[in-house]
Amino acid sequence: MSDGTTLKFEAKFYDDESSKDRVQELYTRLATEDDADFLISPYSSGLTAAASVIAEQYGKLMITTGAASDANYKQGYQLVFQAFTPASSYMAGAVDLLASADPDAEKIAWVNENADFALSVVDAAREYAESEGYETVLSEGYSSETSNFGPLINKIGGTGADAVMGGGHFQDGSTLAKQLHEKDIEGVKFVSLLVAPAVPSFADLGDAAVGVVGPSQWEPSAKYSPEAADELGIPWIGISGEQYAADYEARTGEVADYHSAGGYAAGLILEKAVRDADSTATEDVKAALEAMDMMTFFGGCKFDASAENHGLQIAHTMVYNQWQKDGEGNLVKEVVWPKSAKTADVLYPIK
Amino acid sequence: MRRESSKFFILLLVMATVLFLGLAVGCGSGSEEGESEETTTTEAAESGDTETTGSEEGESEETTTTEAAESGDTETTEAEAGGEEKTVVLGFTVS
Repeated sequence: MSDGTTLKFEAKFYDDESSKDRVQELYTRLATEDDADFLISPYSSGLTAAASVIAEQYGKLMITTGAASDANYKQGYQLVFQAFTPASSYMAGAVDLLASADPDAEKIAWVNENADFALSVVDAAREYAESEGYETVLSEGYSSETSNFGPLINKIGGTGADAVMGGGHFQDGSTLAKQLHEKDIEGVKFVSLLVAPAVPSFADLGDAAVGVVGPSQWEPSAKYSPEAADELGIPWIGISGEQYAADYEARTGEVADYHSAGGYAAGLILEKAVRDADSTATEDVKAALEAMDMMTFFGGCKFDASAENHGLQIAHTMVYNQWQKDGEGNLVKEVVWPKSAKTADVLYPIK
Repeated sequence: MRRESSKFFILLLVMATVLFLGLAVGCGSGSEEGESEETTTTEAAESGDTETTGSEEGESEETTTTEAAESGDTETTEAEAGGEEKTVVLGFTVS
């Protein structure tokens, strides 16, 4: 700090068991007994909504990551700031990709998990698609615990859909993709699902993964750079995506994906805010977050400071992956949209 | 979900370590951050593994990245010997 103070860091964390009740109990504990200066959200929009109430109640700044729902930023909260692209912008690019791949495609079947995140993404994407002239031939939710998508897939088969869009989280999305492949619905040429395709282990589905498109908050191949930040006239903070991905894999033995990258990015955001504020006081760091406009390997970062959407992320954008086979028959995840970031042409139709 | 959460958890630890070290050494360059991470990530991840498997129903095990903080102390002392120290606590949960 400018006054010569050296900041030491101490992390306090607990297993929330994916329970909203536990999240509220534990964030209360973090804010009171542990006297946390700053908070980072739990994973998922539902758990983050529960934690946000506590952060506000106890006056603690919280960076959310792994949580994309827009609704959390329409509650009047003043201390909650989002690192991820909001759900409302999550799948619009998939609609644009479909339009680019096939100007004759007209019909979309929407099938999604009945959960905060998937509902907010699909509602916004469906509205966007309809505004672009697409016909919604089916719009149906399913339980998070669904393991048999047969009846739902049979419904899709009777609609004449050109595209299936939806999904939710990893387990349901993977199962849906697998069963869509097994049912081999005639006429479906494009499948875009939430979350699962972006996870490296989606490749475990084998041929069922081929052609499936998914939005991602970040990919190692994303081209965010100091030069790109320069062009926008904003500061670049931290290491490159390539460096991050290499370091992460070396240390964990796992391939980096957007979930892990988002956690790292949350740390970068807090670091930058504390530096800019030259203070750790909540009000000072809050003001720095409200004024933030920067780029990291994870992408842009700027927050809506309006009363209506306070803390909503407005600079970060999605990329869209598609699983394809390389010349040797190996599954590879390619960036197929937007054009400026793509590493391969989209595989269309899916079969 | 479990696998994703586990990876997310590990990364949060890495992130937390980087945040600490980034704050402590007072610099933002990529290479320096990368070197700083190298010092403590393994220790933090090991703490995380213990926490994940050790939690019991109704009683979450508290795990603080003490080892990471200790490594950071060394960096801090080297970087800004003689200055006041202040501990910043970052709280979060993992699934």
